[in-house]
Amino acid sequence: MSKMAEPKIFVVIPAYNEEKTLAKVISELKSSGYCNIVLVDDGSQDNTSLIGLKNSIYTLRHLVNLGQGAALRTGILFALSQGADIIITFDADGQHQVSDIPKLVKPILQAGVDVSLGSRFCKGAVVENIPFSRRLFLKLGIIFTRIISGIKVTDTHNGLRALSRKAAQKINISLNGMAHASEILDEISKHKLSYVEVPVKIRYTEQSLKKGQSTLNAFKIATRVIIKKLLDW
Amino acid sequence: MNLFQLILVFVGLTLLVSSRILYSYKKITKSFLATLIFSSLIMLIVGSFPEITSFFSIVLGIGRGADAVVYLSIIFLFFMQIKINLRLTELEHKLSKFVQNLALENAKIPKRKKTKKK
Repeated sequence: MSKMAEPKIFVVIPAYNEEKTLAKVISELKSSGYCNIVLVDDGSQDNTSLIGLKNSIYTLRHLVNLGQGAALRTGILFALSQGADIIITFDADGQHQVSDIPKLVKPILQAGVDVSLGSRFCKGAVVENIPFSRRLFLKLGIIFTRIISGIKVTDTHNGLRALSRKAAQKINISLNGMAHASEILDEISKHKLSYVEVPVKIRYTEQSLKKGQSTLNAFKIATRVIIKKLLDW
Repeated sequence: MNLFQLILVFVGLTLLVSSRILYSYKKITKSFLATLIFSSLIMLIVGSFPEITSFFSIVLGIGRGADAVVYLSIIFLFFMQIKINLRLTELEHKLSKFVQNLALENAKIPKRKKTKKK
């Protein structure tokens, strides 16, 4: 990607029952000047959509809960249709920091990188309140992804990332659930997209820990990724 | 005829009759009706003439006819499981596409004042 004078940055927030934290996340994004915010309410039973509408941001709603992967796909497709140059994926539970966005955008704008991946484990990253079990499963996820995709990253399941328009057009998220994070890395490898890891700060909140992945889910994710890989093969 | 044979014949007959009724009410497709009729006929034949399974046991190299029936049933159920899973995955994809298209079509786009954008 060539250097852009004024890139259109879109922030895509997939959300499922996030009324407690969403308003604060949107407010922080807006106060930092990000006005192209796309909220994808993934069939929430609470007032998630209403918060998006009240805050005058792009609000899309899935009639039924499909999963974070599907919500991201919808959000990315919408952002592309609105002419986005760079798409940021940002969690609604408040664990990501708005101050990390410029760090993710910089390699795309200045070095023409296709994808910037946020990492909580590379040098310079900060992780607050991460439970031991979560850290262990994330580390196992890294080994798993290295075997499956052959891509060497320090954090495979970080929802904070920036995609150039080219990358967003090429990456096809077909897995609806949380397995999309591994799938994105697989797509990066498949399409030979350039990527960098950027150290980010992750703050685990009560909400993010409550909605986190269980051990059983980790196995489900691994199974889905393996099945998809076999079907593609 | 022993008790197991009687049960097999009874289940086979019930399946045969109920599949016909379900088809007449358009609850099942023609191909599924054929599968049910085929399954119920196998049950009826095996229940009425259990010695026929010896033929399969000899062909497959399995000791007893009853064992051959069990093994073949496991294989059949395994393939049915795969078929159902594939069908469910296909339906999930269709539902996802439908829900996503609907979300994109009904996207709420805010009216904004002109501000400095990033």
